[in-house]
Amino acid sequence: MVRFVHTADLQLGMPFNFVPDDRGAKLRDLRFAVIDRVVDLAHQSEASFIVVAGDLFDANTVDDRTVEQACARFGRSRVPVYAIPGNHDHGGPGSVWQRARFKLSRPENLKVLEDRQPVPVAGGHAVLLPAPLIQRHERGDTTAHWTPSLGRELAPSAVRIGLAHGGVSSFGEAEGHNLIDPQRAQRADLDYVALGDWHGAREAGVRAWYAGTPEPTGFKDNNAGNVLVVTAGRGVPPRIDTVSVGRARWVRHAETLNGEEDIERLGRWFHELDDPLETLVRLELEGALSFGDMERLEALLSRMEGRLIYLRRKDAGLMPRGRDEELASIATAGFVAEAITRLRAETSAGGEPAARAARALQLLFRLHRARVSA
Amino acid sequence: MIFERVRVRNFGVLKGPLSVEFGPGLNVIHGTNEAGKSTLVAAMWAALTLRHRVGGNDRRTLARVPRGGGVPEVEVSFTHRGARYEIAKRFAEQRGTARLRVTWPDGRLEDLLDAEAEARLQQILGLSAGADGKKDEDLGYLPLIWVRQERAARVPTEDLHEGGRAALAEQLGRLQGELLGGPDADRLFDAARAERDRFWTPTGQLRKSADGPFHAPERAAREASARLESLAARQREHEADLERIEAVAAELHALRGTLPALEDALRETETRRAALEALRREVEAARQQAELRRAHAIDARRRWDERCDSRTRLITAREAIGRLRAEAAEANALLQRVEGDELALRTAVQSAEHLESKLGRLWQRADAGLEVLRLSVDLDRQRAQQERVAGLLREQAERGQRLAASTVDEAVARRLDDLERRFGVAEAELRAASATVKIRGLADAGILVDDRPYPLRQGFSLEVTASQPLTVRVSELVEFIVVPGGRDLDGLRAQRDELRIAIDEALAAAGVSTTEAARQLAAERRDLSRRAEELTREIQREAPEGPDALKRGLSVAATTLSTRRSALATFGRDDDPPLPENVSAATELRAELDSRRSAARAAAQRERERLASHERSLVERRAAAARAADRLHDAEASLTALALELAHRTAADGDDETLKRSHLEAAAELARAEDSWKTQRAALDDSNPVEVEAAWRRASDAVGAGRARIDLLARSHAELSGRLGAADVAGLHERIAEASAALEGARAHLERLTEQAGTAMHLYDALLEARDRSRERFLGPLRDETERLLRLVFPAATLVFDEQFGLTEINRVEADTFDVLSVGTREQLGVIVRLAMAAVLAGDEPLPVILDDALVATDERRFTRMIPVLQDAASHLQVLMLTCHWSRYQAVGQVAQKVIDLDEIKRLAAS
Repeated sequence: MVRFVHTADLQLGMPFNFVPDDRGAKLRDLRFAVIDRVVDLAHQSEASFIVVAGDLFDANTVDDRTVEQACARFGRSRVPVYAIPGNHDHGGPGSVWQRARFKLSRPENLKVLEDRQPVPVAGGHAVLLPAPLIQRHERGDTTAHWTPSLGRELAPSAVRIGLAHGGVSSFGEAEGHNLIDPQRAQRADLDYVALGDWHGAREAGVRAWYAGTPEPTGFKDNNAGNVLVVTAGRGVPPRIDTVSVGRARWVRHAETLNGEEDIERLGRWFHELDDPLETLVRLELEGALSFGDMERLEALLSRMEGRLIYLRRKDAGLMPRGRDEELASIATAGFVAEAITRLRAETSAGGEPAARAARALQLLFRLHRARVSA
Repeated sequence: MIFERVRVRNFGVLKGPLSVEFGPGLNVIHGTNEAGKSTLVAAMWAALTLRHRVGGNDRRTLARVPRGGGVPEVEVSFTHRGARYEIAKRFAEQRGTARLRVTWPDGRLEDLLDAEAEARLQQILGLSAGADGKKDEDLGYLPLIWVRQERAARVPTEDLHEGGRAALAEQLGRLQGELLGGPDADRLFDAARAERDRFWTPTGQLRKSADGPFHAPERAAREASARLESLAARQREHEADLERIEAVAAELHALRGTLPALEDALRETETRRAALEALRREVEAARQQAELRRAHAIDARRRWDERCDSRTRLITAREAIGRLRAEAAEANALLQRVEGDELALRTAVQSAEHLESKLGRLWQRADAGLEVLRLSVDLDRQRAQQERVAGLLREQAERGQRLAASTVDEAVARRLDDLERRFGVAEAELRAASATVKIRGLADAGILVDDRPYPLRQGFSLEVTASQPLTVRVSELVEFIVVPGGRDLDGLRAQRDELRIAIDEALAAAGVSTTEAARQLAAERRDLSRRAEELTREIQREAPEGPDALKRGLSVAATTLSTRRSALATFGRDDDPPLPENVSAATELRAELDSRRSAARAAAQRERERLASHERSLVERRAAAARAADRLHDAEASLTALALELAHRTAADGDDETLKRSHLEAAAELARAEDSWKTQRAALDDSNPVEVEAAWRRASDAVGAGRARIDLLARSHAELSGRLGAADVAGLHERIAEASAALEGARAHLERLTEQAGTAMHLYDALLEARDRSRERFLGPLRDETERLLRLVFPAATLVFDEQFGLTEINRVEADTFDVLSVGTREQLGVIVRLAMAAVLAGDEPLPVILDDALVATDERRFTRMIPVLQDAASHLQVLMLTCHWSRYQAVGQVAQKVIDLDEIKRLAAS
């Protein structure tokens, strides 16, 4: 039996530029920091090695600091780390792997498998069958060269572990790029296939698993933020332990707001977040709020924007709808009242004209309030 | 509010005290100039608007109160909303007083003094607190309805200030049952407009200039876009390099796989090509051998041909020499013959030339002799001519002297004739006029006529003409005096006597005694003159150039003759025959000699030509002989050279037989060598060298192209690798993401701004539309009332008010503005608008309108039309019309509720 840590898709150097100021930098640094936890987990679980199934880097053109961070952090590992190039950081000329800086800084224990030659690992107890992407788009199944005999001569009784990056092919998609046969483990007599590309941890075929990215990269709820501790043996099904290592929480939330109590509910939801300081929220809002409630909502969201790493607002469906007393406070007679009546009528028309009329009323209310308070 | 009465004392021209009472409706107050009409309304104005305690430090306020010497006092009574008010003021600096007495509808009385009275009064009139009449702005609508002199033509709104407008607006709002919204609405509208203006330009464009909100995000978007595009281009370039290097690597790999097979094929074709090359070298050697033999054969043949040629040329040369020698001998013989003829020809020439010379001299001698003869004859003629001329000259001199001595010329003779003729006529006239005294002697008697004795014989008669008193005395016995009585006898006599005297003087001057003698002298003189002219012509004819010239010619002729004679002597010889003595013989001799001389000259010329021809022939013969000798010499030299050359060649190439044998052997060797070459060439053709060469070329090209392609690809791979590893690639990923995020951020910002701009514009549009609609409704009553009155004067006219009640358009036929109208029209419109505004302001409570001579610039027709307007207005207003034109206003007075004669009131007050 051999134990190792399976991870992939760290995509170091992912910019997150939509997150402003130091919070974006924090998000980028979290991706470096997760390496430390993966290494720690390997040490704790007494794993023999770590495999990175592609996309260690977000691109071949990442900056040198990212390269240095990767090298330095994996350099702390006491066990070897085997990485293959993925579609984001494919091998070949011009790749990050052939950059002078990487060659200079690469720690001894970090092995980049840029060709398809099987590699004995764990003292010969296992053999790795790499399927690196040496071009951005490899036509057909990148694991097609895996045969039952491949690598057998190096270690006849070793645990056979495939290492590949790409989507699992389904019927009719055999001609796509970077596709992998889900039955490849069976066909090539492999004990485990460590896959990369899919960002959530999941089983992808017979003895084949995606580890997913250890630090989530988006709001898709797909079981990201994990690594797999794999215990594999010759001829036996592997044991997979999914371990959460991610820090940032990417949360999607939707609310329908039609009154003050709805805003209070939303406030409670925010309050119940585990760790707002490490959380990104994608908030979808709809409904209609009075001008006063809109201001209350703004106050709440403004407060939360200060706490969260990032708050993305999708509030096109939320309309300001002034209450009678609010509108009456502006004017009950004269041409202003007449204009209010007209705009209110427009708000029931629907679509953008209605939204614009609603915004116009809200603006009028704001101007009125500003004048009154002045 | 209705004015009931005013009492005035010590107010300007109104000393008073006097009291004027007004009625409701239309009041006409008239009076002469200076009667105090304006002072009366000024007093009312002062009572309502000026504070009683004028001054303190503000002397100007007091100065505005007309002072009539004492303390001005005014009391005004008016009703207002059911109550009756009496305001009485004494205007002074310290001792001024004010008192307001109010009688409420329920009969309750209220009496207020001084400050309280003023405050209450201002409240009633709607004036600003503390107003003291100094500024119209503080006086509400009062300036609008209080039309002082010459203010009617002003734009009415100039007299409608904030308070008046507010009152008007309030009343209009009350009439409409709603308000525009008041200042709050206006300020909100202004805020909405400001919000719109924050985003939009006046022309409806989004504000993208440097001070507009769109500027910064647009610039950020542009910069981010440019940055992103630049980075994306670099990224595309990088990816293109990746594509290329993948393609290059693939091709390189494939080429390296196929190159060994190509190289094997090349080696095989090279082996075949080497064998073919060896064969080709053998063919070349055979060809060169054949070429060598061909050269030998040609050389031997050439030498043999040259030997045959030399032999032929030798024979030919010898034959030519013989022929040339004969020709030379013949030429020399001919030359000698020609040279022998020369002496005879030269002798003949000399003989002919001698004869020619002799005849020439003889002709010259004859010619000279002829000339001497002619010159001698001519000299004689000239001498005779000179003598004739001398005779003529002498005669001319003599005649000239005679002519000069003659004193009577034709003119003198004609004058004498004329005098004689006139004397004859005078004499005849005198005689005809005189008395004729005929005396017949009866006996001889002596008679004295004028003491001159006339013997008279018997039987003889004596006639005496008496042209003057004549005394005839007969024998001392009788004396009688004949006094002729003819007319002008004295004049005739004097004329005759004068003529006689003139004749005598002319004769004396001419030196003759009678006229006949003078006539003869004149005839002589004429003849002399004619002869002188003839002499002159003869001299001219004989000596045209003058006698001196004739003399000089004679001298020259003599000299020439002498010279010719000397010359003649030089031509002569002793044996020459004598020359003829006359000209004709000499002429004939000369002609004969001339003929002979010409013949001799022709003969000599012929002889000379024969000699010249001979000399030319001699030259030709000599040249021909020399040429024959030259040709012979050349032929002999050539023969010698040919003989020598033949000798050399024989020594070199052997004799003729040897040379012929050598030539035949060389031809046979050539035939053998050419056979061998042909055989080798056929073998080479059988080896298909073209195919072998083409195969080698193909293989070589394939390998060359493959290697070149591999080199090219390898260089390209190296270059691409270098570019892929370029320093600027590291971090490109992050930079692109950053630029992309910046662009998205800027665009999102722009979208938000655009949305805000749209919202602001929409709100503004909604407010504007609502405000316009409200205003249209709001101004309705004012417009209706104005137009109702207006159409009494200007049928079909309309007015447009702006939000501040200003007149923006007056439509009669075409749209006008107020200030372009005539003063009269402005005046009428001003009154109408003020009446209409007053009507709106009044509502249910009547208001007074004071018109102080407000229609002075209005013509009669319009004035007549204005009367119904005033009458109509007075149905719900109190109109106080002041005028000094009572005659004009009598028509108004007929419809007025009250007519007030101020002069009458003043008179009554005074009495």
